[in-house]
Amino acid sequence: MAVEERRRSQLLRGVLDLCLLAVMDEGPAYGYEMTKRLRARGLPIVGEGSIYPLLGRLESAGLVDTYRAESDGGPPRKYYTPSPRGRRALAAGVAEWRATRDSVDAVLGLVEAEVYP
Amino acid sequence: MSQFVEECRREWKRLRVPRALADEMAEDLAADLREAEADGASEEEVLGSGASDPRAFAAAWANERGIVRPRRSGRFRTRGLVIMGALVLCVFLVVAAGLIASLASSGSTAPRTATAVAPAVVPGGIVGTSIFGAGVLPSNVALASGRRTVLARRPQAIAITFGNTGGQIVELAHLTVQIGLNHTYQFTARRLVPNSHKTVRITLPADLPSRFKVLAVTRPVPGETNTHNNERIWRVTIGR
Repeated sequence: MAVEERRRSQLLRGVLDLCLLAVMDEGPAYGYEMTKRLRARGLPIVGEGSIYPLLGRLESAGLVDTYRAESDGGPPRKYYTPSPRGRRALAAGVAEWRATRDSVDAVLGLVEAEVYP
Repeated sequence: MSQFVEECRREWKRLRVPRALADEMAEDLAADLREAEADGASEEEVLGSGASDPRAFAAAWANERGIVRPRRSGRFRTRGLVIMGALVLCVFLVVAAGLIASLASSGSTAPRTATAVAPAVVPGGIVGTSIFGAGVLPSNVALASGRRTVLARRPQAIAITFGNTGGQIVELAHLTVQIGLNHTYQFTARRLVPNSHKTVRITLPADLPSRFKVLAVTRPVPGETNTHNNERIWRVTIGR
Protein backbone atom coordinates (compact mmCIF):
# COMPACT_ATOMS: atom_id res chain seq x y z
CA MET A 1 0.00 0.00 0.00
CA ALA A 2 1.34 3.40 -0.97
CA VAL A 3 2.25 5.85 1.77
CA GLU A 4 -0.60 8.16 0.73
CA GLU A 5 -3.15 5.36 0.84
CA ARG A 6 -1.94 4.18 4.22
CA ARG A 7 -2.16 7.68 5.64
CA ARG A 8 -5.67 8.16 4.28
CA SER A 9 -6.67 4.84 5.76
CA GLN A 10 -5.25 5.74 9.16
CA LEU A 11 -6.90 9.15 9.15
CA LEU A 12 -10.24 7.69 8.16
CA ARG A 13 -10.05 4.92 10.74
CA GLY A 14 -10.14 7.48 13.54
CA VAL A 15 -13.33 9.15 12.35
CA LEU A 16 -15.26 6.45 10.49
CA ASP A 17 -17.48 5.88 13.53
CA LEU A 18 -18.40 9.58 13.51
CA CYS A 19 -19.11 9.41 9.77
CA LEU A 20 -21.43 6.46 10.34
CA LEU A 21 -23.26 8.23 13.16
CA ALA A 22 -23.55 11.30 10.93
CA VAL A 23 -25.04 9.48 7.93
CA MET A 24 -27.48 7.50 10.05
CA ASP A 25 -28.45 10.74 11.78
CA GLU A 26 -29.84 11.89 8.41
CA GLY A 27 -32.32 9.04 8.62
CA PRO A 28 -32.32 5.39 9.74
CA ALA A 29 -30.15 3.28 7.47
CA TYR A 30 -29.03 -0.34 7.04
CA GLY A 31 -25.43 -1.31 6.41
CA TYR A 32 -25.17 -1.02 2.65
CA GLU A 33 -27.30 2.12 2.64
CA MET A 34 -24.71 3.78 4.88
CA THR A 35 -21.98 2.69 2.49
CA LYS A 36 -23.90 4.34 -0.36
CA ARG A 37 -24.39 7.55 1.61
CA LEU A 38 -20.68 7.70 2.40
CA ARG A 39 -19.81 7.04 -1.25
CA ALA A 40 -22.21 9.79 -2.37
CA ARG A 41 -20.19 12.21 -0.25
CA GLY A 42 -16.93 11.13 -1.79
CA LEU A 43 -15.93 8.71 0.94
CA PRO A 44 -15.79 5.20 -0.51
CA ILE A 45 -14.60 2.62 2.00
CA VAL A 46 -12.69 0.56 -0.57
CA GLY A 47 -9.46 -0.50 1.08
CA GLU A 48 -10.67 0.57 4.51
CA GLY A 49 -11.81 -1.58 7.40
CA SER A 50 -15.37 -2.76 7.05
CA ILE A 51 -18.21 -0.78 8.59
CA TYR A 52 -19.87 -3.88 10.03
CA PRO A 53 -17.55 -4.46 12.99
CA LEU A 54 -17.75 -0.75 13.64
CA LEU A 55 -21.54 -0.89 13.67
CA GLY A 56 -21.25 -3.79 16.12
CA ARG A 57 -19.05 -1.68 18.36
CA LEU A 58 -21.47 1.26 18.24
CA GLU A 59 -24.30 -1.11 19.08
CA SER A 60 -22.56 -2.75 22.02
CA ALA A 61 -21.57 0.69 23.32
CA GLY A 62 -25.21 1.78 23.28
CA LEU A 63 -24.54 4.55 20.76
CA VAL A 64 -27.10 3.29 18.24
CA ASP A 65 -30.65 1.98 18.38
CA THR A 66 -31.66 -0.72 15.92
CA TYR A 67 -34.83 -2.21 14.57
CA ARG A 68 -35.78 -4.55 11.75
CA ALA A 69 -38.08 -3.42 8.97
CA GLU A 70 -38.82 -4.20 5.35
CA SER A 71 -36.56 -2.35 2.93
CA ASP A 72 -37.94 -0.96 -0.33
CA GLY A 73 -39.35 -4.12 -1.88
CA GLY A 74 -36.51 -6.14 -0.40
CA PRO A 75 -36.02 -8.41 2.59
CA PRO A 76 -36.21 -7.13 6.19
CA ARG A 77 -33.10 -5.19 7.09
CA LYS A 78 -31.57 -4.06 10.33
CA TYR A 79 -31.85 -0.29 10.53
CA TYR A 80 -29.52 1.80 12.65
CA THR A 81 -30.17 5.21 14.13
CA PRO A 82 -28.12 7.13 16.72
CA SER A 83 -29.34 6.75 20.29
CA PRO A 84 -29.50 9.91 22.45
CA ARG A 85 -26.10 8.92 23.79
CA GLY A 86 -24.86 8.42 20.24
CA ARG A 87 -26.01 11.92 19.27
CA ARG A 88 -24.09 13.38 22.20
CA ALA A 89 -21.04 11.35 21.22
CA LEU A 90 -21.42 12.60 17.64
CA ALA A 91 -21.59 16.22 18.76
CA ALA A 92 -18.54 15.81 20.98
CA GLY A 93 -16.68 13.91 18.27
CA VAL A 94 -17.39 16.56 15.66
CA ALA A 95 -16.10 19.26 18.00
CA GLU A 96 -13.02 17.17 18.69
CA TRP A 97 -12.47 16.54 14.97
CA ARG A 98 -12.76 20.25 14.14
CA ALA A 99 -10.39 21.25 16.90
CA THR A 100 -7.89 18.63 15.74
CA ARG A 101 -8.31 19.60 12.09
CA ASP A 102 -7.77 23.28 12.95
CA SER A 103 -4.67 22.51 15.01
CA VAL A 104 -3.21 20.37 12.23
CA ASP A 105 -4.09 23.03 9.65
CA ALA A 106 -2.31 25.61 11.76
CA VAL A 107 0.84 23.53 11.54
CA LEU A 108 0.57 22.22 7.98
CA GLY A 109 -0.61 25.55 6.61
CA LEU A 110 2.82 26.99 7.33
CA VAL A 111 4.52 24.15 5.50
CA GLU A 112 2.30 24.42 2.45
CA ALA A 113 3.64 27.88 1.63
CA GLU A 114 7.15 26.48 1.29
CA VAL A 115 6.31 23.59 -0.98
CA TYR A 116 7.01 24.11 -4.68
CA PRO A 117 5.60 22.03 -7.49
CA MET B 1 -20.87 -13.63 -2.92
CA SER B 2 -22.77 -16.26 -0.91
CA GLN B 3 -19.45 -18.06 -0.49
CA PHE B 4 -18.28 -15.15 1.65
CA VAL B 5 -21.39 -15.37 3.85
CA GLU B 6 -20.96 -19.14 4.21
CA GLU B 7 -17.38 -18.65 5.39
CA CYS B 8 -18.61 -16.10 7.91
CA ARG B 9 -21.22 -18.56 9.14
CA ARG B 10 -18.57 -21.23 9.67
CA GLU B 11 -16.43 -18.79 11.65
CA TRP B 12 -19.36 -17.71 13.83
CA LYS B 13 -20.17 -21.33 14.52
CA ARG B 14 -16.55 -21.98 15.48
CA LEU B 15 -16.66 -18.95 17.79
CA ARG B 16 -19.91 -20.25 19.33
CA VAL B 17 -21.87 -17.16 18.38
CA PRO B 18 -25.53 -17.81 19.30
CA ARG B 19 -27.37 -19.23 16.29
CA ALA B 20 -30.07 -16.55 16.16
CA LEU B 21 -27.50 -13.74 16.11
CA ALA B 22 -25.37 -15.51 13.50
CA ASP B 23 -28.47 -15.96 11.32
CA GLU B 24 -29.33 -12.29 11.70
CA MET B 25 -25.86 -11.12 10.71
CA ALA B 26 -25.70 -13.56 7.81
CA GLU B 27 -29.08 -12.43 6.46
CA ASP B 28 -28.15 -8.76 6.70
CA LEU B 29 -24.82 -9.36 5.05
CA ALA B 30 -26.31 -11.48 2.26
CA ALA B 31 -29.01 -8.87 1.57
CA ASP B 32 -26.40 -6.07 1.45
CA LEU B 33 -24.17 -8.07 -0.89
CA ARG B 34 -27.10 -8.91 -3.18
CA GLU B 35 -28.11 -5.25 -3.37
CA ALA B 36 -24.52 -4.20 -4.05
CA GLU B 37 -24.23 -6.79 -6.80
CA ALA B 38 -27.42 -5.47 -8.37
CA ASP B 39 -25.90 -1.95 -8.21
CA GLY B 40 -22.79 -3.21 -9.94
CA ALA B 41 -20.69 -2.54 -6.83
CA SER B 42 -17.83 -4.81 -5.84
CA GLU B 43 -17.59 -6.80 -2.60
CA GLU B 44 -14.82 -4.50 -1.52
CA GLU B 45 -17.10 -1.50 -1.79
CA VAL B 46 -19.38 -3.12 0.78
CA LEU B 47 -16.86 -4.90 2.96
CA GLY B 48 -13.80 -2.67 2.69
CA SER B 49 -10.57 -4.49 3.37
CA GLY B 50 -12.57 -7.25 5.10
CA ALA B 51 -13.47 -8.64 1.68
CA SER B 52 -10.16 -10.44 1.45
CA ASP B 53 -10.45 -12.38 4.70
CA PRO B 54 -13.97 -13.58 5.60
CA ARG B 55 -12.87 -15.33 8.80
CA ALA B 56 -11.14 -12.26 10.20
CA PHE B 57 -14.09 -10.12 9.11
CA ALA B 58 -16.60 -12.43 10.83
CA ALA B 59 -14.53 -12.66 14.00
CA ALA B 60 -14.09 -8.88 14.17
CA TRP B 61 -17.80 -8.26 13.74
CA ALA B 62 -18.80 -10.79 16.40
CA ASN B 63 -16.14 -9.54 18.80
CA GLU B 64 -17.18 -5.93 18.41
CA ARG B 65 -20.79 -6.89 19.08
CA GLY B 66 -19.66 -8.75 22.18
CA ILE B 67 -21.41 -11.96 21.20
CA VAL B 68 -18.53 -14.44 21.16
CA ARG B 69 -19.17 -17.03 23.83
CA PRO B 70 -16.33 -17.78 26.21
CA ARG B 71 -14.57 -21.05 25.49
CA ARG B 72 -14.77 -22.40 29.01
CA SER B 73 -17.93 -24.39 29.59
CA GLY B 74 -19.53 -25.41 32.87
CA ARG B 75 -18.02 -28.88 32.48
CA PHE B 76 -14.53 -27.41 32.38
CA ARG B 77 -15.25 -25.16 35.33
CA THR B 78 -16.39 -28.17 37.35
CA ARG B 79 -13.24 -30.04 36.35
CA GLY B 80 -11.18 -27.01 37.41
CA LEU B 81 -12.83 -26.96 40.81
CA VAL B 82 -12.13 -30.66 41.30
CA ILE B 83 -8.44 -30.16 40.42
CA MET B 84 -8.24 -27.14 42.72
CA GLY B 85 -9.81 -29.14 45.54
CA ALA B 86 -7.32 -31.97 45.03
CA LEU B 87 -4.42 -29.50 45.15
CA VAL B 88 -5.70 -27.94 48.39
CA LEU B 89 -6.00 -31.42 49.90
CA CYS B 90 -2.40 -32.26 48.87
CA VAL B 91 -1.08 -29.04 50.41
CA PHE B 92 -3.00 -29.76 53.60
CA LEU B 93 -1.55 -33.28 53.83
CA VAL B 94 2.02 -32.03 53.29
CA VAL B 95 1.63 -29.32 55.96
CA ALA B 96 0.11 -31.81 58.39
CA ALA B 97 2.96 -34.26 57.80
CA GLY B 98 5.48 -31.47 58.39
CA LEU B 99 3.82 -30.49 61.66
CA ILE B 100 3.83 -34.06 62.88
CA ALA B 101 7.52 -34.43 62.01
CA SER B 102 8.29 -31.14 63.73
CA LEU B 103 6.51 -32.17 66.93
CA ALA B 104 8.28 -35.50 66.87
CA SER B 105 11.69 -33.82 66.80
CA SER B 106 10.90 -31.04 69.29
CA GLY B 107 13.00 -32.71 71.98
CA SER B 108 16.16 -32.08 70.03
CA THR B 109 18.47 -29.37 71.37
CA ALA B 110 20.20 -28.69 68.11
CA PRO B 111 20.14 -24.98 67.28
CA ARG B 112 17.67 -24.07 64.60
CA THR B 113 18.48 -21.74 61.80
CA ALA B 114 15.83 -19.77 60.01
CA THR B 115 15.34 -20.74 56.42
CA ALA B 116 16.78 -18.03 54.22
CA VAL B 117 14.09 -16.11 52.41
CA ALA B 118 14.66 -16.23 48.67
CA PRO B 119 15.29 -12.81 47.19
CA ALA B 120 12.11 -11.37 45.76
CA VAL B 121 13.40 -11.44 42.25
CA VAL B 122 12.17 -13.20 39.17
CA PRO B 123 14.11 -13.64 35.97
CA GLY B 124 14.18 -10.66 33.70
CA GLY B 125 16.38 -7.59 33.76
CA ILE B 126 13.74 -4.91 33.30
CA VAL B 127 12.53 -3.15 36.41
CA GLY B 128 9.78 -0.61 36.65
CA THR B 129 6.24 0.56 36.99
CA SER B 130 3.95 2.27 34.53
CA ILE B 131 0.72 4.20 34.48
CA PHE B 132 -1.75 2.12 32.50
CA GLY B 133 -4.76 4.38 32.18
CA ALA B 134 -7.56 6.28 33.83
CA GLY B 135 -11.32 6.42 33.70
CA VAL B 136 -14.19 8.42 35.06
CA LEU B 137 -16.61 6.70 37.41
CA PRO B 138 -19.39 5.63 37.72
CA SER B 139 -19.94 5.72 33.95
CA ASN B 140 -16.52 4.12 33.48
CA VAL B 141 -15.55 6.34 30.57
CA ALA B 142 -11.90 5.79 29.77
CA LEU B 143 -9.71 8.84 29.51
CA ALA B 144 -7.86 8.49 26.25
CA SER B 145 -4.73 10.47 25.57
CA GLY B 146 -5.69 13.76 24.05
CA ARG B 147 -9.33 13.35 24.94
CA ARG B 148 -10.79 16.65 25.96
CA THR B 149 -14.41 16.02 26.71
CA VAL B 150 -15.81 13.28 28.85
CA LEU B 151 -19.50 12.68 28.30
CA ALA B 152 -20.14 11.46 31.77
CA ARG B 153 -23.25 12.13 33.73
CA ARG B 154 -22.44 13.45 37.17
CA PRO B 155 -18.91 12.02 37.38
CA GLN B 156 -18.02 11.17 40.94
CA ALA B 157 -14.56 9.75 40.85
CA ILE B 158 -11.51 9.00 38.79
CA ALA B 159 -9.91 5.58 38.69
CA ILE B 160 -6.24 5.30 37.83
CA THR B 161 -4.53 2.01 37.09
CA PHE B 162 -0.81 1.49 37.46
CA GLY B 163 1.24 -1.63 37.57
CA ASN B 164 4.47 -3.53 37.35
CA THR B 165 5.64 -3.76 33.77
CA GLY B 166 9.08 -5.08 34.59
CA GLY B 167 10.31 -8.59 35.09
CA GLN B 168 11.02 -8.31 38.81
CA ILE B 169 8.87 -7.92 41.87
CA VAL B 170 8.46 -4.31 42.99
CA GLU B 171 8.38 -4.35 46.77
CA LEU B 172 7.05 -0.83 47.15
CA ALA B 173 5.48 1.25 44.40
CA HIS B 174 4.50 4.88 44.93
CA LEU B 175 1.82 6.67 42.96
CA THR B 176 1.15 10.39 43.17
CA VAL B 177 -1.96 11.85 41.60
CA GLN B 178 -2.68 15.51 41.19
CA ILE B 179 -6.20 16.57 40.25
CA GLY B 180 -6.64 20.18 39.30
CA LEU B 181 -4.29 22.64 40.90
CA ASN B 182 -4.86 21.99 44.56
CA HIS B 183 -5.47 18.31 45.18
CA THR B 184 -2.65 15.82 45.53
CA TYR B 185 -2.99 12.20 46.60
CA GLN B 186 -0.34 9.64 47.51
CA PHE B 187 -0.70 5.87 47.23
CA THR B 188 1.58 2.95 47.85
CA ALA B 189 1.29 -0.63 46.70
CA ARG B 190 3.33 -3.40 48.25
CA ARG B 191 4.85 -6.35 46.49
CA LEU B 192 3.65 -5.87 42.95
CA VAL B 193 4.53 -9.01 41.03
CA PRO B 194 5.38 -8.74 37.30
CA ASN B 195 2.40 -8.02 35.07
CA SER B 196 0.16 -7.15 38.00
CA HIS B 197 -1.68 -3.89 38.46
CA LYS B 198 -3.58 -1.86 41.04
CA THR B 199 -6.40 0.60 40.57
CA VAL B 200 -6.97 3.52 42.90
CA ARG B 201 -10.25 5.39 43.09
CA ILE B 202 -10.26 9.06 43.93
CA THR B 203 -13.45 10.92 44.67
CA LEU B 204 -13.51 14.12 42.66
CA PRO B 205 -13.21 17.17 44.87
CA ALA B 206 -16.34 19.31 44.96
CA ASP B 207 -14.48 22.49 44.09
CA LEU B 208 -13.14 21.27 40.74
CA PRO B 209 -13.91 23.42 37.70
CA SER B 210 -15.44 21.72 34.66
CA ARG B 211 -11.99 21.70 33.04
CA PHE B 212 -9.09 20.30 34.94
CA LYS B 213 -5.91 18.38 34.55
CA VAL B 214 -5.10 14.96 36.02
CA LEU B 215 -1.46 14.09 36.52
CA ALA B 216 -0.39 10.60 37.60
CA VAL B 217 3.22 9.77 38.40
CA THR B 218 4.84 6.59 39.65
CA ARG B 219 8.11 7.03 41.47
CA PRO B 220 10.98 5.20 39.74
CA VAL B 221 11.91 2.07 41.65
CA PRO B 222 15.55 1.13 42.35
CA GLY B 223 17.17 0.01 39.12
CA GLU B 224 14.51 1.46 36.83
CA THR B 225 16.01 2.95 33.72
CA ASN B 226 13.04 3.55 31.45
CA THR B 227 10.81 6.11 33.12
CA HIS B 228 8.96 6.94 29.92
CA ASN B 229 5.66 5.48 31.13
CA ASN B 230 5.88 6.69 34.70
CA GLU B 231 3.86 9.82 34.03
CA ARG B 232 0.56 10.52 32.28
CA ILE B 233 -1.45 13.69 31.99
CA TRP B 234 -5.09 13.89 30.98
CA ARG B 235 -6.86 17.12 30.26
CA VAL B 236 -10.47 16.63 31.17
CA THR B 237 -13.55 18.63 30.34
CA ILE B 238 -16.66 17.27 31.93
CA GLY B 239 -19.50 17.41 29.42
CA ARG B 240 -23.21 17.14 29.96
